[in-house]
Amino acid sequence: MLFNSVPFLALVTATFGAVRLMPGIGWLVLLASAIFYGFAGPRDSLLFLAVIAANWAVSFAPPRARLWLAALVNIGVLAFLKYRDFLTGGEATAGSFVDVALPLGISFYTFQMMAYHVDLARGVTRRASGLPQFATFVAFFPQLIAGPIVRAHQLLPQVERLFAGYRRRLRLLTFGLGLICLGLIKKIVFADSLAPIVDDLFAMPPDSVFDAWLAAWLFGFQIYFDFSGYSDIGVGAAYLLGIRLPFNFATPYLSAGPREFWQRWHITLSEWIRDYLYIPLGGSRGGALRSTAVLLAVMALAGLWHGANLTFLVWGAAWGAYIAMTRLVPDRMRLPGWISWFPHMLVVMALWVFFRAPGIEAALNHLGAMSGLSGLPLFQTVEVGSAGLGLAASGCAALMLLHAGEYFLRRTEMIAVLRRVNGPVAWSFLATVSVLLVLLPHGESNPFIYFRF
Amino acid sequence: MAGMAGRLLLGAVLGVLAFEAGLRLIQATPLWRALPVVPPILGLPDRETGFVFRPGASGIWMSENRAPVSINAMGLRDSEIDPHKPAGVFRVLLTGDSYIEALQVDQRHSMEALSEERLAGLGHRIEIANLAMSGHGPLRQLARLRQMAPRLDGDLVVSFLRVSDFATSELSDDSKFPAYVEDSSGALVEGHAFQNRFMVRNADNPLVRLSLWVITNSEVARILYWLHREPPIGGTARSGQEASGGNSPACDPDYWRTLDELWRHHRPEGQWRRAARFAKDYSDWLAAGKLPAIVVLRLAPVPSAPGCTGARLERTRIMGEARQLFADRGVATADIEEMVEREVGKADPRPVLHFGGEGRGHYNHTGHAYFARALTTIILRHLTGQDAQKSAHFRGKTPVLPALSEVRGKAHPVDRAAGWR
Repeated sequence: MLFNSVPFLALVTATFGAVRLMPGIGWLVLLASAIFYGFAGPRDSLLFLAVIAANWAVSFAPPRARLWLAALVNIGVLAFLKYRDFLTGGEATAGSFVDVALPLGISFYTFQMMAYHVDLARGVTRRASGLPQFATFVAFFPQLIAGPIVRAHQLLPQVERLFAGYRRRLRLLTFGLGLICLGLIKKIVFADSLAPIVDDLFAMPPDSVFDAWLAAWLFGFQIYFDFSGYSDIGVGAAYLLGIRLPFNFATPYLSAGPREFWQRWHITLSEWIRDYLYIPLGGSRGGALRSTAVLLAVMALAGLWHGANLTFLVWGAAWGAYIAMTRLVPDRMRLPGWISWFPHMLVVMALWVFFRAPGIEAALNHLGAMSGLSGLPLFQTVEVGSAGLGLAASGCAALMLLHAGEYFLRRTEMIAVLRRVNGPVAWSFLATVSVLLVLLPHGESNPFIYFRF
Repeated sequence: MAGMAGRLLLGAVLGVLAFEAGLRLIQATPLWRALPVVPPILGLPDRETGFVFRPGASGIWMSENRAPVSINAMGLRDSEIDPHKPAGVFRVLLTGDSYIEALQVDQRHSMEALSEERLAGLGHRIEIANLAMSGHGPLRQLARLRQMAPRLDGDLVVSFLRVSDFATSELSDDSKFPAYVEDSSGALVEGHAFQNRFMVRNADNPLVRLSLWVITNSEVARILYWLHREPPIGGTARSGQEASGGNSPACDPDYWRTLDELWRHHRPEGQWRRAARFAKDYSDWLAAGKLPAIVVLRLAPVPSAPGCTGARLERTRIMGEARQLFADRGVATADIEEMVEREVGKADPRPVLHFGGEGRGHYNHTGHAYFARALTTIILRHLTGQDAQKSAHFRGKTPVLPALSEVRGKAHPVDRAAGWR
């Protein structure tokens, strides 16, 4: 069930109404989550049920065995379904149970459940009071398939309160509806519009240096609008159901360096990597060489989480190398943010090529074209003309301006504005625009990019 | 409660208006090239042809390519045409289907406009009026000519006909468009059962007209309209992308079986009767209006790969029969696909000429450029009398084209026409 679809809006609306009016709100949210995931099909649903049940059982295991069992159940299943071909270099038997598309959201709920068990072991969180509560924590539909990756201490207490009958007062309905509307605009108006252009640009080797950079730049924005749009819809839908989820993006393309980028892009994944991999492996302790090795390994794993392909591994490792290199620069030699922003953006967009290209060779060819060292002209005006180039350049600048504009939307001063307009007129306005966005005629559906993970 | 309902309604209305304004803003600015727009509704129901273009309609076409589309005041997908033909202008009436209608490209890049431009560059005052519409098979094109020719005062008719249309239900099914049906005595008559369709029957109903007006003029109303129909939206691979491999279906001799049955063996008999009847009606109409015509026959080209020899032979035979049908009626013909194929010079020209990397889809910009060259050649050939012997209606008629008098007896005009700037 896509977030940008009528069934999803209907599900959110129905669940919102039921939660507001009926008793047993925890069960209602669990039922809605089951309906949502049920759309993925019986195979994925059965697997998910089995994984939830197994994790629940593991949470009762002796503490010493618990983490190993959790790793076996979660990492083991993920590794088998997602990475076995990558690790063995083989191909799954056609028609076999495992030779199918990846179960929906498996990468997200795997990380969420591993974090639960680690936090349980560390005493940071308590065990869920019952299987329904645990299942709702894992399967909460606004965040299940695409994050944010929430920690038990963030979501579980809220879920427990739902089951206790606590109905949170929605002080700012406009906030939830506004986030859903904003997310739909990002996904439908921008991400889905950029998708065919990006597909076209990456379908063939670039004709010029400009072409190569244009492809990378547009993909960088496509994936941002796609992912952050979904995230906004999820956070907004959760708000309507009385659940507060953390934001996953904070205008990452306004960052001035790699560390800041990962504090703004897929924030919950960054924090998961930091808390459950980087720090346990030593973090920045033990000297520059050791910490660099840890950084590279952790970022490479983070890349691999996105997909079982060498390109993702290289993407992650390249990010690790970039972060490590910037660490070598003494503080007194660091450029001010407004200067370092542009070269940093060039690196970010160049690294996206590994994410988008079908293979390492294609990625390296594309990067070669971007470097200007492959003999391609700077511009190719035969097909599009200088006016077309101007339009493309303006489009790129406009995307950046939009992104900067989003920064102001997310400032806390906007809450005051939302409070002022909060009321039936605003609710109805946002709901109508959201529905019309979803009803816009479109060609082939562009699934959410991160569904693949 | 009433107050709450009123405020909710107000919010909804404001939402609709904001959405409407946003979509119109996208369409009115270069943003239409990338951001979502709602496909336009360009047609209106029509009692003679099934549907016609709505004069003044415009929008962004989103299937295979994004292109601005506008319909002129005469209801043609063309630049504005003076209904009173200026003195000294030679007007060509061009009919065809969606390939000639060319909604996929800006009108300035269509073969008709490019051909006009080339002819003007060669010193000819030739205007080409594009009467083409999607789906127009042979009889619909004739109906279109009957409807529009009196208003346009044409000097030459060029009709793009698909050879394969004669082997489909195009000429026999009148439920949506005019076709040939059998009356009680078994004779073929023109059937107009499509006139019983709700929209055609009630075309003058004020409520229907109001609904149509709302749908055609409101972006939001059209969103709701397209919920119940397949919107014409679809992506395409980059134009010019080579075919990914595999044999062309046109290479398979079985592909030609149905056409072979019809054109060489005149089977099924009912289908052949309709083909012959159309050729007669078409030539009778031309004769009545004293109009010369060229029927440009379109038949899928066969790649020049070694394994395609049998298919090439089939194609040649079928095309020969199709051309003979019209030649017997004194109507000149041309095999445009062959002309273009020779120019392109590739084993399989389809990926070069069509949107969609594997030869599917309508002509892309390159395709229109090549077909424009061929169309220009066809028109010039006709004007210089090369096709005069084939067209009984043309005999004795002298084209008023000052530039041609300069080249008669000198360089071959076709060669000159082929010398592009």
